[in-house]
Amino acid sequence: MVESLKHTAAAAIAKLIHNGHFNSKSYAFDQESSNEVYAQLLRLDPQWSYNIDLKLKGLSFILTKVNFENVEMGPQTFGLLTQHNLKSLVLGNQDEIPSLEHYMSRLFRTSQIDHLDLSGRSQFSTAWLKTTGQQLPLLRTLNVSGVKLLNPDFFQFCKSFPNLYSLDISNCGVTILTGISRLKNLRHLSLRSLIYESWYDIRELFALKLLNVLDLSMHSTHHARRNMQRFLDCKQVLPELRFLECSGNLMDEDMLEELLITHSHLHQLAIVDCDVKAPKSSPIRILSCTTFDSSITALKYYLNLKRRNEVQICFQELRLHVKRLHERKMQYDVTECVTLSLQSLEKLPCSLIMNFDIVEERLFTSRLSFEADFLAEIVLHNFHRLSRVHTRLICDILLNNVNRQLIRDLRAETMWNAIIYLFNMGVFVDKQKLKGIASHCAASLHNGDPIIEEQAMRILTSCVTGKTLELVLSITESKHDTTPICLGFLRAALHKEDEQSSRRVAEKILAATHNNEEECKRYIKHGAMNMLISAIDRFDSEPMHIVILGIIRNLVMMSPYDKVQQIFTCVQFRTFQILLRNWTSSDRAYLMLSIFALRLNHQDKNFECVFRKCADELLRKHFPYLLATEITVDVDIYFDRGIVQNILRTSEEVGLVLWALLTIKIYAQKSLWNSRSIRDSNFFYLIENPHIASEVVNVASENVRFLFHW
Amino acid sequence: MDKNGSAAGGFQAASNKDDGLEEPDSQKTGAKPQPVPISGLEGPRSKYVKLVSNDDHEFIIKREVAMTSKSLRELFANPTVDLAAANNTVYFSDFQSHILQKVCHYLAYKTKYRHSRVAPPFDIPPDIAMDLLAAANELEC
Repeated sequence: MVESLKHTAAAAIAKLIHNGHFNSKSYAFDQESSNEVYAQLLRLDPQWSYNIDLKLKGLSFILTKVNFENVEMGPQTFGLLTQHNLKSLVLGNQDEIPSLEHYMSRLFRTSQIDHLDLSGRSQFSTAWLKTTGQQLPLLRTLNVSGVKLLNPDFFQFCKSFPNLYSLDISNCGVTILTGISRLKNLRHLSLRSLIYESWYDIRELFALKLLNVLDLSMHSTHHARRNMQRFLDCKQVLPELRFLECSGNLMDEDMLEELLITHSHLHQLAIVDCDVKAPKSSPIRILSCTTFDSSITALKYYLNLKRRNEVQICFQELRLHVKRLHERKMQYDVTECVTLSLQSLEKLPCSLIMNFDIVEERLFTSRLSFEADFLAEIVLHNFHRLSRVHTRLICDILLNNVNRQLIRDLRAETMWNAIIYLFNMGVFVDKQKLKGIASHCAASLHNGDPIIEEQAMRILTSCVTGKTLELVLSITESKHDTTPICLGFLRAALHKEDEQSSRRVAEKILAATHNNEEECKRYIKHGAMNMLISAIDRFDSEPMHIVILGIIRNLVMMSPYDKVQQIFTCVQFRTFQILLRNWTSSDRAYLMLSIFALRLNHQDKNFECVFRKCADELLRKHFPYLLATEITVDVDIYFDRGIVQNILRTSEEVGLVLWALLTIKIYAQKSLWNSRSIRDSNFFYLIENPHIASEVVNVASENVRFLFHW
Repeated sequence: MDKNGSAAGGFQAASNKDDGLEEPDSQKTGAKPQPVPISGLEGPRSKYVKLVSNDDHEFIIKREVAMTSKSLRELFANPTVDLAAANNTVYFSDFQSHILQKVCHYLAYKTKYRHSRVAPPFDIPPDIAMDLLAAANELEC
């Protein structure tokens, strides 16, 4: 949204004042400019208005209108304001100020306030309210929504402000309107989300013969939404009523008919979320969400008023209407829908909204915006009618929403599907935001809540499909990611039983964990080992097995010595024993035996005697076969980390030494350079003269030495 | 009051200065060259309008751009005969040319980005911020 020139210029001046660069000390700001510049100063420095007051010293300001919503006031500010003849004051939430009532009273002595907004969580005493009424005889507009009032207090309250034209006591807790008849000049009255037990509690309402606008709306989460029933039960009429807001109240067609008959003089009636269908034709303008067009009209109305709750309801209903239109292949104004969504997100930043869970039908807090949900529906069915600019904006909006939290809300998944759709259609997707979502989903796989886990799995599964796979594979993980993102992707790909995508993700993990101790620890910590071993059984694919075994090898190699038996357990060893019987591939067999060897090398020889014996026997048994075949596994890392050298020097296990000799053979056969490096190495003599006395080792040593004499 | 202490006269529609009288011959030799007539300024639904600063700088802008100012919108939405006859020209006695120029820039900026969710910032030089604020108050834009 484009700021007005007034706001922009005032902001520029405010910035000069804020930075101490304003040089026109003699300039006398007029009233309108003063108000505007002060408002901009508050936006620059909302934490402590006292700082602003200091900066204003020496400047000629004429403040008549101030708004301290979202601003921390200081007692000194009240002193400043007493020097001005205020006409309008929005206090905001100033509970932190001690003796607030005292400062307010002092301010009111020098003011001629006609508009006062005390809405929020502040509390005011009955005595103070009475005094305020006496101090502000010109007060015409008063907003105390959210300020808790008891019924007796309300009676006294009405006595204190007899000249009000507009009053807002929404959410203040008053359940009996006794005393309101004293406000005979009242034209506007807002009673949002107040609950009345019977018609008797609101009968005095009908004494307000000049009332023009009445708001009896309810939040849809309230179990008691029968204020309109109470209103009609009074069997009376407000003769001057022109605008009646009933949204959120439970109504039926009989009630609506009665209302239209008794109050035929209404200009506008709002019945959004009233569970009643608006009549097709009526001389009264009826705001409802009965149809797509009426929903658009209602949305525009509430958007203009910045009524968040009603706006959200309109978007909910619009989404349903649009969904039906999509199902019937019917056209509608897509651009208008997108524009309204963007405007809503701009005017009404997303906040916590109470809503019914569509899965378990219970209350919970949702952080997802209904606008984003609505946009997702449009994307999935009307992408071709979106402009390029809009698709980019929508993608960002959806990413921001999904990235917030995965909860029991299928809308997050719908939004995600829309994101994937946008990406597949060529829209740029921010990798960092995508990474955040993936990380969140990966962590959610172990949430403990099956619904959340399933949702996370579905989202991750969609990541490893088609073009999206290439996108996710390009994501660079960082050390700050608590849960390895690719582990989540791999789990999803395995869940999908897609060998190709599983292997692609696994290859990325293989590269990430190669010679990277920290990364290996992260994967180990998050249960990678069990998942990897179970993955071997899922696919009968040699390339897949080689990658999986490569990762397991990396994890075992990098694991701490004292924890290796926890990482690669005897149970897993037995699983490998069974697999080894069926595998004829030398590469797979060699990798598996390498894992055994690394496990042996990590382990103290005095522990796990059975495992050591079995592993040693396997290594001995398979050595002759592997020695006679070509193996293409990369073995450089064993030399880079000195594993082979260490085994030759210190190991007393025949099988382990045989593996080391086999590895040397594999390494030497890769290239002439490798062969020469072994021959020239300082451990070559260990190959010629093994330190353990074993006929098998001696024969193996001779076979390996042959390579270097060839 | 503006900073000069005089009453803020704001702007007014130009009156028709052509009273039909012929200038004396003695003045013709030293007379300023006649301005080149610009098409598009005629009539109540002209494509362009003209804004003139107090130092006689003329800014011709599209009518739709001028309409982004509430004050100008009200003026041009209910055009008088004089306004149309004066080629839809508005004189600003309180605005210098550099201020009026910046105002025109803003009106064009707002026209271009009014429906955009993301608009580039409109930069205001510090030295004209005060005058621009006064102009914004007057033009209601």
